[in-house]
Amino acid sequence: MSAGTRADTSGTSIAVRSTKYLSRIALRWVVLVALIGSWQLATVNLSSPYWVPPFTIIRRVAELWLTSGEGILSTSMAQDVLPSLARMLGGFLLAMVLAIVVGVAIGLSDAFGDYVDPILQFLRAAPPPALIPVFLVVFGTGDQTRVSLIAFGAAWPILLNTIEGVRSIESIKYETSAVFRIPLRLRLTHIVLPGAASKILAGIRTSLSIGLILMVISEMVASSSGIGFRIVQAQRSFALVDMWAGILLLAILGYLLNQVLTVVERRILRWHRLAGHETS
Amino acid sequence: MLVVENLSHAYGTGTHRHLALKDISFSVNEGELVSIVGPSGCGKTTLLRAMAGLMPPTGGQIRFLGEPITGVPGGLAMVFQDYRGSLFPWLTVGDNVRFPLHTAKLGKAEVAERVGESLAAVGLTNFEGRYPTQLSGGMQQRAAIARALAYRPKILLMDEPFASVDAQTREDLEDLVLQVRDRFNMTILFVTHDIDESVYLADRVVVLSKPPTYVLTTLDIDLPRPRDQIMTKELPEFIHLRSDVARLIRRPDTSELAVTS
Amino acid sequence: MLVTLCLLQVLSWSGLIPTTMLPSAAQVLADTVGLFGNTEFLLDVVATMEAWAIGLAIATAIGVPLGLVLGSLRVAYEVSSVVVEFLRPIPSVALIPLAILLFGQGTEMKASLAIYASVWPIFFNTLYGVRDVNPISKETARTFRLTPFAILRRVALPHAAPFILTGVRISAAIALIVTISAELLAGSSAGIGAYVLRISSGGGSTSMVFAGTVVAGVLGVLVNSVLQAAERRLFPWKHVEKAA
Repeated sequence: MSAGTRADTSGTSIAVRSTKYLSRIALRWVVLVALIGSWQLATVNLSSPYWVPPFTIIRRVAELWLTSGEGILSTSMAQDVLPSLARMLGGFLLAMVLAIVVGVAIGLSDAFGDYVDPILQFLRAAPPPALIPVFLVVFGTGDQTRVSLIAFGAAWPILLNTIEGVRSIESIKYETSAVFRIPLRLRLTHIVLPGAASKILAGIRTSLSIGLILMVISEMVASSSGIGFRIVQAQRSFALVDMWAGILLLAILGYLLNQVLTVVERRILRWHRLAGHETS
Repeated sequence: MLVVENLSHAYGTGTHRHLALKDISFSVNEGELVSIVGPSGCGKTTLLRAMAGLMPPTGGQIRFLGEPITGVPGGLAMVFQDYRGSLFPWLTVGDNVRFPLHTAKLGKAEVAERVGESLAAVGLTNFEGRYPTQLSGGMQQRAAIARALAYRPKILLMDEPFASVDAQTREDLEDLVLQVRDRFNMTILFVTHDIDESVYLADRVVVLSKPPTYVLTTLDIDLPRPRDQIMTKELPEFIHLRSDVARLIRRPDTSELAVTS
Repeated sequence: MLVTLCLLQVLSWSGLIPTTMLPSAAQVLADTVGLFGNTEFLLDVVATMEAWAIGLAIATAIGVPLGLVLGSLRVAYEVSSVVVEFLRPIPSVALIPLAILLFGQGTEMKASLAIYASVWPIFFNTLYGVRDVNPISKETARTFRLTPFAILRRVALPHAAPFILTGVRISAAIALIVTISAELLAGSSAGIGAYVLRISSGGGSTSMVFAGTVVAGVLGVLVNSVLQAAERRLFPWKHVEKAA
């Protein structure tokens, strides 16, 4: 629009931009180091048993993760991290598949959608942790309980977003594909899923954090393995370094899962953009 | 009233320095309607932002009422091209007009009077309670003008205010500017890329070059007032003036000689 | 809705699923109605709501100003983003044991977890809302000589308000989950989580647990629809835009 803004971007050289970028990264590291440093100082000086110095926690995490116990993996990896991850991914994938399939079906049929909407809204609002006892009765104390609880809790945001995403596709696209007599299977993969992709991904993001919450809480309430179990165990036996190490472990796990999702999201949405470009 | 002296502005630094404004000098006297016209991309918006005190220029000086401009001065109002961004969507038309009056420490009666008067002047009296998004583009720009009027500025800067409305609405709004100018005795600086518009409205037209921008020439417009969209634009003088400006903008090097000689 | 309930009822009559697992809809409904006459349970609901409301209120009081400031000051954001990225991935429930150690088993503990869980959506929505402000809006305010603080209050805040309310709505759902989780785990003396714990350890019927969840779900739906209604009332311009 204005000459000013255009000149502004072309005028900033790559060199200037990259030095800015580097100084930003440097700034972030400085802040991070300062943060951990002052946390260390504060906890050492506070000498409260509850607040463990960060270096002690980090050392403990390294110990738990990197020293080998059973084979190549450390005991903590084999007994806590892997079971937790397996439950999380199992429940999450189950939720994803079910929610997207059901969501597309509901989204495509108006009558059915209107009819199930109040139930879905209600089920989404019902807090899944309160159902843990029910899940224990139904599925027993095995991993089934935890996986199904995670799946149950994580399904709603994906389901509701899928329905919304499918409904937001303009009818002209359906009409066009009807005119060209595109078979249903192609309509699903080329119109419905790409059209709803960004909404579905937003739902998946919410579900990821809910799934993580449910993984932890189910392990805390009824389990004999997993990071959640380990944290509660540590708290009850007053092993505070272990408790903090567990929290840090969960933070790292949460961060990594989020990173993976971001990468997947970027890939899918790029493909989505390209596909949109081709057809238009 | 407003004096621009040897104004220049560059974006970026070092080898990537881009000179947008080279050397610009002109002035606006009290009660004048001056329009600035130039080819698109000639830095009109940069110039106006510098005059409004929104952005410090890298060279030269601007004085408003004798004082050099360092920040946004009092007694200045601006109407932007982008009325969607400029009007606040969460406020009704009336509240948008009232918006700048909060800082002026006025009594309630005075505020109400100014709002009523300004809305009446732009023909929006019955739309005070509507939200901007409920109005057409032309009406939104009227509301933005009303807001500037209620502020009672000494000078009104207008940055291509009618570039995003349709042709019919545009003519109506041009006449609205002339009406409010007579009624409130305003000093107006009007930036546009539309040659007809610049000549039709102004007492004086400042013609800018392509970037790096300088003032090609300043033309006095001696067309009779009140102006009329059909009659004024039929006058041979109007046609002559608009052709001069057009030639200057299209081929500045040759036509500059033709006009000045 | 009704049809589904009838279907569930028929399913339980048919005897395909034992009632210990999936109690009949009529039974749950009856138990739910019964709960409203149960003073102890009503006190549980009040206890949960209290921690939930306190948590949400404090999270809003922290998240909104923080989002406003960090959303409008690039440097402040750069500096603090490290802290944000550091803290955000910690699942709120992972902090339950720590909160129990620090605050005991009462409202303080539950509210502190609810604050931690709900501050993020509110903060990020405020931040996005502030960043979304049209630069021309800010320049307009500047030409009318508003101070930076006045611009924050009179331009950035109103623009971000609908975003903020959406954040509060998301937070409300998460805070409820976290509050009830905390009650379950800490063995709190009162709260919906405490009720569920009492019923299940006392050998109560599954349908009573379902009834408790139904009430919690109804509460969630109620709060959600109240906030949605507030959205429509408070931000009418959002809707005229859609209608236009």
